[in-house]
Amino acid sequence: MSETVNTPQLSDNLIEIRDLHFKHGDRTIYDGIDLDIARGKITAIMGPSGTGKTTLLRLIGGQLKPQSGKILFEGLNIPTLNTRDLYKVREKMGMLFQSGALFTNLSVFENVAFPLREHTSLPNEIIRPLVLMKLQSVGLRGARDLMPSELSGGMARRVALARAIALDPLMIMYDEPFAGQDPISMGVLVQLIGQLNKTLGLTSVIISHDVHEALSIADSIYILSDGKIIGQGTPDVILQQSSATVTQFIEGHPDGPVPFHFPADDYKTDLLGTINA
Amino acid sequence: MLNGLRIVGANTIESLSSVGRAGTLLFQSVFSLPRPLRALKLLTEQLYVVGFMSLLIISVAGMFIGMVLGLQGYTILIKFGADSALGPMIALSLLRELGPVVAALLFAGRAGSALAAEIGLMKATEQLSSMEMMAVNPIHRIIAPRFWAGVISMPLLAIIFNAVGIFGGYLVGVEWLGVDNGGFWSSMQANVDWYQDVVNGVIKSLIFGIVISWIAVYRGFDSKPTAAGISQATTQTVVHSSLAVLGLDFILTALMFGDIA
Amino acid sequence: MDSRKIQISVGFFVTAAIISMITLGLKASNLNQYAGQESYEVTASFNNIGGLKVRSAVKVGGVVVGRVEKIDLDLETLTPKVTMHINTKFNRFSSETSAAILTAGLLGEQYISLTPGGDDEIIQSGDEIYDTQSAVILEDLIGQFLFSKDSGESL
Repeated sequence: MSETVNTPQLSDNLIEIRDLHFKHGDRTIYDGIDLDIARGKITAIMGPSGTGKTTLLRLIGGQLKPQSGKILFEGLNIPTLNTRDLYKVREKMGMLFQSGALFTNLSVFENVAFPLREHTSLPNEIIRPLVLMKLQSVGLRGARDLMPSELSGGMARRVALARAIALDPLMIMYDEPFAGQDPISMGVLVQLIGQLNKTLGLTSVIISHDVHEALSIADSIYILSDGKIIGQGTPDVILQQSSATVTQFIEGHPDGPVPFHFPADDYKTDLLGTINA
Repeated sequence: MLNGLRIVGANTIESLSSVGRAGTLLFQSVFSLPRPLRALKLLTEQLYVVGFMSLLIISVAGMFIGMVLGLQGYTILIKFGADSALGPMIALSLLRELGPVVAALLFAGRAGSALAAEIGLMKATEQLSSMEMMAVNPIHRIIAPRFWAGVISMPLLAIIFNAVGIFGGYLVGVEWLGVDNGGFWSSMQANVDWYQDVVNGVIKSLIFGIVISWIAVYRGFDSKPTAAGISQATTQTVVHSSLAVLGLDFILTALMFGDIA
Repeated sequence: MDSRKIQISVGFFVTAAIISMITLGLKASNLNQYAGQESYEVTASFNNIGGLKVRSAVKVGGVVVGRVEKIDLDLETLTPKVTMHINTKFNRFSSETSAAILTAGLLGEQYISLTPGGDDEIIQSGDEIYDTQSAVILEDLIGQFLFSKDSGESL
């Protein structure tokens, strides 16, 4: 493990998380987890709702600070960076928010151009073809003059994706990219994520609870529950995993280690109690 | 009883930490400025939204208030045969109090609430968060320009309010009710002191502008990222900044004009 | 939003404010009287200054020539002393000039009216005007009127 920290350029892992502890108020979200995000591969992080999957992305991006543990991005420990270095590192990360989070007062074109205008001093003559290329890769070059309010949810996400790759980052984090999408949009996104990963040599981290889609494109999967990793490996390994918790999640059984019934007293005494009282 | 104490303590701690966050936001907005050329462009855009778009309500309100002052002032002063005092009465009322305060209250309602709502909405739709993740500081890009635009616009709007108001008072007093034109202006000029009245009024509106803009951007930035949170931020902005303006007005008036017999 | 339109609008806004400020200064306040005008100081003692205030006008025949700068009580004589700043343009008052506190209109504000005397000696900065007439106090006037009525004499 220690060799990979000292030689960031040759490391197989773009991100290494070691012994991460994070609490939100009284709730423990992460109780000492270890996680590797392999360079150039698609890693899916899955789990039941409320296990803090989005929190993990915020921790990696430095928007939240853990109580203890290391988050190494290319060898740099994110929680220890000062603001300026953190902002420099963020230029290498792209993030796709669940709602797309496009700037509502800018057109599609201007949204994608935003990172280029902010971080480079490229003139308009160069920015224009760059933006068009990014839009072309997500199939929305013709929509360049629309405003975000005129886009459907799926289209907004694709524009946000084009914006996220505008600076050619090393990695893109997807926060629930498949949530609430119709089958066609779902298919489009699945294809885009896979394609971009391959053609741009990106590292992709997908937070999702859409089991079928995630398993279809991920190279490596982590399943989180109750602040711990309860399953990890390639899709085949996961599908063969015998842990009851994992199986319930993967196959979507309504009852199992995550119970159907909210904890309550004995049913009979509860009912009869109203008659006797 | 003990529970009541606990609640008071918890609220105090929450209020203090809220003030702390507000102070930090103000400090960052004021002291960490982005590249000058970019900053000017952002500021100009916000001056348009915050300042220019408020011109209509400020001018109309100023005109009406000036006209009412003219009307009411005339009916009262004429009883003492003192209608020659109408000019200074209108001017001093506007320049010292009504101009800065009413313009500030209107500004808080129109521009202040709009700022809070806009920033709150950007927070709720994760636009601020995504900007941060794109390595652009949202305080430089979004908060600071809006804050400074408010601070600059407020005194300008108050000045326009005063000028339009005095003109409105002139229309009613001289043109309609027949007060002597020369007397109107000359007694006004004789009784209105540039430093004491005009400049002090501008200083007042500058302070109001700082307070209103600060409350507005802070409430928006600190709002809960839900629809209810944005609505709460907007109403709190209007209420808190209005109360702050009225309270500060009393303090400033006592400081500035308290020594005039 | 087209940025040219924004710049023009903001320019209009700022220009409107500047014009308003200038108008306020010139038409609504005494700014023109402040504008770099030199003045010299003259004092006068009165028995009663009535309603005279700091910044009250000093006039000659109704024309404003200066302002009241300070109103004090002379600690030795215990009489009010008024300090006036007179515009250097009007520098030919003789030492026999008299000062009276008059009222503008029936209930108007009070001001100092200077009546030039005939002496050749000119008043310099720091000089005092000795020929003064105090303000008319309304109560005294009424008292006089009642007194003369009582004694049956017509006014």
